[in-house]
Parts: sequence; structure tokens; C-alpha cells
Amino acid sequence: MLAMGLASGESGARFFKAAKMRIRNSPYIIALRHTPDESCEIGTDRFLVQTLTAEQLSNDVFEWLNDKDVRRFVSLPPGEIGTVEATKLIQNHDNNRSFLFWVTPQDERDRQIGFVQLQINPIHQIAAVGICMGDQGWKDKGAVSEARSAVNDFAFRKLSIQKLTATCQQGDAEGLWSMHSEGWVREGVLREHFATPNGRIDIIQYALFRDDWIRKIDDWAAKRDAKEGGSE
Amino acid sequence: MTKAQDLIAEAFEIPVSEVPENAAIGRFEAWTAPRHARLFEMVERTLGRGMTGAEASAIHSIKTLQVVLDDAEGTET
Repeated sequence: MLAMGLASGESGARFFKAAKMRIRNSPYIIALRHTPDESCEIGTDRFLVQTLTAEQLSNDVFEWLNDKDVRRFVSLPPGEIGTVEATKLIQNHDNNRSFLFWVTPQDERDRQIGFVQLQINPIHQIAAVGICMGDQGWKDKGAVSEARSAVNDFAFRKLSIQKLTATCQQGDAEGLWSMHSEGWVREGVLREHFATPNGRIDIIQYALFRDDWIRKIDDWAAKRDAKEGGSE
Repeated sequence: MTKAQDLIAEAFEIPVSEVPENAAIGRFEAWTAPRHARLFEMVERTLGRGMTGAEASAIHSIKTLQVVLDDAEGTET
């Protein structure tokens, strides 16, 4: 219900208005609301990255979820995805140890343009992050980086995750570019790991570490403070 | 001028002189995602085959691209 309220208008506006300060000096998150086991919402400069029920998804989602070009580099259940399949997919995430965040543009609250998945291993304090930006209108506009970085920041600083991992397929040039541009470190190559219609392919595994992330945030905050101090 | 610098200039459609010797993703503004995809295709065309995961993920700077090209050449000869 919370997510619906935020996505649909007045309470959402209040949520962002109340968040005049960035969350704990975050360059990525301007507002955050997490109710464990129920819902989670992360506000970024341009998006609301939020958990939703299948009923709350817009029809646009099913268009891009079933687009073969979008699905080429994303691991999703085989076959057409409709409300039933989306419900199953969402129910596999408990909003505590696993999250399926839908990315909603702040000025277009009635549709979702992609998703970010976060799967936590609490024993080792690690988590896997996956992303799919399906709406082609948002291609090459920094949406992947903005949404994923917000989830990374939530994982590192709110959930105290020590290490994040992510994977990328060998032929996904733009995906590989985004990993490097965001500072992910290549940990290894899983050779011939996935079966595809074109044969077996390599998967590249990347990692981000909490200490490096905190250092990056501190650098950002120091630069911001220096700039603000200089402008006074 | 290196083969890597040449390829980057061609893929990005800019003069070779505008490709810095230390060009890398995140450090060289012209190195955008769509241009990276074009560079990817051009490297595969140059190699005459698809890249392995190790090669594809190694292309993030002019230096690492040159290593990929040199290694591939060394393997072929």
C-alpha cells in the first residue's frame, strides 16, 4: 500500500519534499523507506526504485519483459511473462533478504522502465545485484547506473553488506561498459557457463567492496563540502 | 600511434589525435556505452571471430585493448 501511495501522487510528493537532505551523505539516494518483510522504496534524483505487487505494475512492463532484445542478456523464466508469472517472480522476494525493485521515473509515476534485483546471503554478508533496463526510451541516459548505484548504496550502508557481486554475459557490450564505468572489479570469468540458443557462453563475475564504496562516498562528500565552503 | 588507438578513433568517429594515450572508460568522456558497443564489433571484425569473456571484459582502456589485440595476434601466429 505504501508503494502504491508513493507511486501515485500526494504522499509520494511528501516523501520527496521531506527528504531535502540526501540520505547519510549519499550521492545516489535522496530518500529511503524500508519496512522489512513488507516493502522498500529508494528515491534517486530521477527515479523511485521500489518494490511493488504484480497488480501495481503497468502494462508497459509486460511489453519490455517479453521483448526478445531486452531478454537477450537477462536471466528470466522462459516463456511469456504475464501477471501470473510476474506474481510468482515478485513473491520469490521477501523484501528482507531478497528484493525486486521496479524503477519508476519520478515524473512518470504510472509506469516502470526496468528492475533491479538484490539477493542477500546474510551468513557471509554478501549480495548479488542484477539489473534490467527494459524501456528503450531510457537507453544510454544513465538509468542503469543511477538505479543500480542507489541499490548498491542501500545494500552497503543500510544493510551492512560487505561485498556485492554482479555478472555480465560475454556479448553484452553495453552491460560490460556499465560495470567498468561504475567501478566494478572483474573477479573472474566463468567459462561456457550459460546455455543460449547460440551455444554456451562465458559469464564475467564482478565485485564491489564496502570499504571501497565508503571511500568513494567520503570523497564525494569531501568534494561537495569543499565546493559548498568555497561558494560561501 | 597504436592499433588500439586507431580502432578507438574509428569506432568513436573522432580523429586519432583526440584519443588520449591513457583513454579508459570513466576517464575519457567520449567513451560512451553506444561507442563501446561499436568498438566491440570492430574488435571482433579485426580478430575475425567473437571475443571470449576474458577478452570482452578486458576492453576498458586503451592499454588493455592493446593487450587483447597483441595476445590475439600472438595466438594466431
